[in-house]
Amino acid sequence: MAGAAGLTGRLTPVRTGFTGAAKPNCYKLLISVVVLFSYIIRRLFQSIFVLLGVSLIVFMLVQLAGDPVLIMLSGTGATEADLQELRAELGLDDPLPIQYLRYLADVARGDLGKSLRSKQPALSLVLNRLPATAQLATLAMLMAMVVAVPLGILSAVRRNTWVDHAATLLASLGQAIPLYWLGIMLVLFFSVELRWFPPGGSGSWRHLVLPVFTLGLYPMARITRLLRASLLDTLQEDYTRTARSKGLHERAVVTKHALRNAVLPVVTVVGLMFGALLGGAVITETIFAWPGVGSLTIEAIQNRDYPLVLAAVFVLSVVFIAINLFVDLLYVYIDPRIRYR
Amino acid sequence: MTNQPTAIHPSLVTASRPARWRALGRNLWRNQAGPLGMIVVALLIFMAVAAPLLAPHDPTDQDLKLRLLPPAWIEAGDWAYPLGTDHLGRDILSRVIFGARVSLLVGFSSVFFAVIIGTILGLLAGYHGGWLDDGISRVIDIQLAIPYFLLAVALIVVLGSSLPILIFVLVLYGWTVYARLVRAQTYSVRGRDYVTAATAVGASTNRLLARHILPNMISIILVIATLELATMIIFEAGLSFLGLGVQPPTPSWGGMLADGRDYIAAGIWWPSMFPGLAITLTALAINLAGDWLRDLWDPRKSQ
Repeated sequence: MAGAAGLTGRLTPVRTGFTGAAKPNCYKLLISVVVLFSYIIRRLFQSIFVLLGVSLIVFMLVQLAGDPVLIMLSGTGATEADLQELRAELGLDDPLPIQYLRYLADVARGDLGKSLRSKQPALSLVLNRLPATAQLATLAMLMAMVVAVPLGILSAVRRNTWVDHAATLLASLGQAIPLYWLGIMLVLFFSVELRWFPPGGSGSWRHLVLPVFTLGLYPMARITRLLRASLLDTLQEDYTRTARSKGLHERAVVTKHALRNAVLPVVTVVGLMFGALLGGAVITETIFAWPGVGSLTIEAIQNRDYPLVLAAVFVLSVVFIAINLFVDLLYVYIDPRIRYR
Repeated sequence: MTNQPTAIHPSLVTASRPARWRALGRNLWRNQAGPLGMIVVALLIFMAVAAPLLAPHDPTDQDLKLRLLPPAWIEAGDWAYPLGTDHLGRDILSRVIFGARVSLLVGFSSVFFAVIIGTILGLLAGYHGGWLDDGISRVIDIQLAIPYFLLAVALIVVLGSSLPILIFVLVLYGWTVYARLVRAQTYSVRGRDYVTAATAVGASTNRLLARHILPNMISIILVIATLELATMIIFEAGLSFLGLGVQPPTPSWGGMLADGRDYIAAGIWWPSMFPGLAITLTALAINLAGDWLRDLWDPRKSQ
């Protein structure tokens, strides 16, 4: 980015030197394309770096999980010599950095080890369950936004009215209610008492209602508060005053000027919140017996199936990194400053 | 104000009756909710400390003849067990009271260590910059890229579950918040005049950080720490709910919820209702207190 900024600085005099309009625009376009690409490439490298960090953490966890040879040969009456032989065969007596590189090569080939219980590749077990988790998390985030965006705007624009107070109360509660309790209480009222929705399982839209609401309430509360605060800030900015003073309708001032800027920090947090959402999915899926990665993880924990647990952590981390990469690239569209920096 | 007819306050002219009611409601919400939250937190701490004196029963005392007794106000309830009993015939009220110990102990100690570690690393990174800053910032980047609840689950599965490990896992989660905050703040005041002046008169780096840079951030750190306390308590109860927290028979709110969950299908709601209420009330009180502190200390008084 520093190089790109230098480029802009050097080219500025050239631009002012031209009186025609076509050429400077050409330069501007070139510069913005260069800036854009350097941003995207830098962001991609950052993601790869973070991915390496995650793999290192998971590798360390694998090491901490104990000697796989002992787990594999436990109860077979193997002698110490057998153990040594198997260790040498699997390369477990190599230095740790070598083992890590080998692990990386395995990961790159899509090999995250085998489930201790089912003996199937851990990665495919996790990937089979991924669509269900993706569906749950996406719908929860969607629900959160559909409610939070109008509510956040309304409570900022109608600040200190009853709408604002109701929204604040709702958001405070939504942030305080832990989702594991919320899920249980929803089952109690809507499945056991009212029998409106099934208490768990999957198959129809009715199975989705309770888990989606359980998972979506917290992001809903967070986004409402965040958007309200952010919009209150931008509503006080000079450009908003300018828009008002040139006689724009209040609706246009809010939607076209204040909101567009207020949305930026919210988008970043929505991306980061997916992390909490994927973590929350573990609990939500357990409560509602939803066949996703989360319930798979908990089953794996109960079976002490370490490779499967770590594969699930790894895959969900990759999903999360990808989401945040996507959000940052989305910024190119919603924040023109990145293009013209 | 009313004695001076020449200078009528604008609000008296414009404020209609409902508006005044609204203003009162606003004041109550804004100004009373925060202190109320503080009081509730103080009561919870008292409850945790004085648990053996307050609890009517031993929280681990089982009596299978009295299992799943409903709360006292329901028919078949017994005032000896005001909130009913769980599946092993243990008094739910006593378990909720004792459960505050685990939640608050884990919550406070994890926030405490996270603040210390995060602040020190943030100061170092922000003040010295260079490779130290790069290293710490990259570690934070990586950690923020992992859905932490899952990492915590994996860590506990691998390391085993105990109180110290629980706190360790939460500190590992929490320190990044303070490190990022303190790093950014330190970085931004590094070139200020008062810092330059302190350096010029020969203040050592440690003195500079401790006496000139850190005091400016204490209030914001405290506010964040308060709000994080609620997160930690919810986090801990979530781990306990999955059976990864404090192990039975030690009563914890998350563990009680997990036990009670099995009886929901039969319409037996009290074993899971009360610990959940306790967690929610605690988190709500802490958040209200934290928001209040923020408004008090934030010079912009926004939000």
